[in-house]
Amino acid sequence: MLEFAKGNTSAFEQIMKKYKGVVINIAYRFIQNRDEAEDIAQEVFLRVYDSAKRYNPKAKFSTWIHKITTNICLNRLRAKKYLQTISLDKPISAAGSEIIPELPDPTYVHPSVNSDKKELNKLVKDAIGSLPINQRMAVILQKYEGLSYLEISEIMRCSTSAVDSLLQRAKQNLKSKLAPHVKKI
Amino acid sequence: MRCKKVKEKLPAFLDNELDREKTSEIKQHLAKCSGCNQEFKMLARTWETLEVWKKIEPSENFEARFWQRVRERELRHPLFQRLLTKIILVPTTTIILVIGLLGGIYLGNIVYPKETKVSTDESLSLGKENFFYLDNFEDFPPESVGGVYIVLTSQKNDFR
Repeated sequence: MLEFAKGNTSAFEQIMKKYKGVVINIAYRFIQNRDEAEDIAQEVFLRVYDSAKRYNPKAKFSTWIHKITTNICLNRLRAKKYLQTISLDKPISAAGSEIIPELPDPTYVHPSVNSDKKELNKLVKDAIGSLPINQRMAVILQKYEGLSYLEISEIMRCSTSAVDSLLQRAKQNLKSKLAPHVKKI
Repeated sequence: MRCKKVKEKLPAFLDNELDREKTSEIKQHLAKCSGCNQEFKMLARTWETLEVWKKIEPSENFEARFWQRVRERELRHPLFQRLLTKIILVPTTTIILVIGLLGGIYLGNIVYPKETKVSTDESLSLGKENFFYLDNFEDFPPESVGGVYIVLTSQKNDFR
């Protein structure tokens, strides 16, 4: 990144090769639309491209790019929700983080126990998609990116106890949705 | 540790985010409590199930599209940037410097006025305007003491 700040464009190409998969998948798992995920990823890299001179070398680059990705994803979805709904739902503050309650999907059909892998893939995708946006982002960063609570708290700009609370609730929500597909011990 | 507290901590325990002491307490509790143990296993299995959702590969032309966007943006903005620097920034900077200079001169006049300091000794005071003449070494006005003296002395010389 410092090389790119000096004007070395090939350094930026290396950054993009290394991180495009990460950024696209965070966006995809969050927004659940491939084209929009790639559009978000393009926006992330444009911001990185424009911010090269302001980049603080003390900050870990991966944390920085995760932060940009998370912000754009959250802002994109919040803007969509604002435009699409006239909702009486208000954000609920809990443990220092915002939770926007999701309305239950009236077309949701309770899955059967014997689902094949493709169906399970869809069920997992839908279960994560039904989570409130902050819980969703915390799950994506923890489960699919393997980040620690501390790293997630830095990216989402909240305390580690707020991350703990988000993941607690998220896991309970996912358990209740996916329980029929989880082998009973 | 009570079951309610243990269940609250199970997600963090599953993620290895608890300190050594709490981890040990929970392990001991799970070994004894079948209810919490069952809860933990359900949670772990659910978490494991999420792995079926595989990641996607970026499209082949992702990078090409990005550089295209960068080029398009640079084509759109250079005129604006030229206007910004030449027409707006340079005159603005000049105006700010001139205002700063004039402001400095004005403030300097307020803090350090051009009036000459006058002695407060009353025995020497001949009136403000006369004293200024003495200080500035200009000719004595005729009506001043100095002026009369000069007239008289010049008349004395005339009588010789």
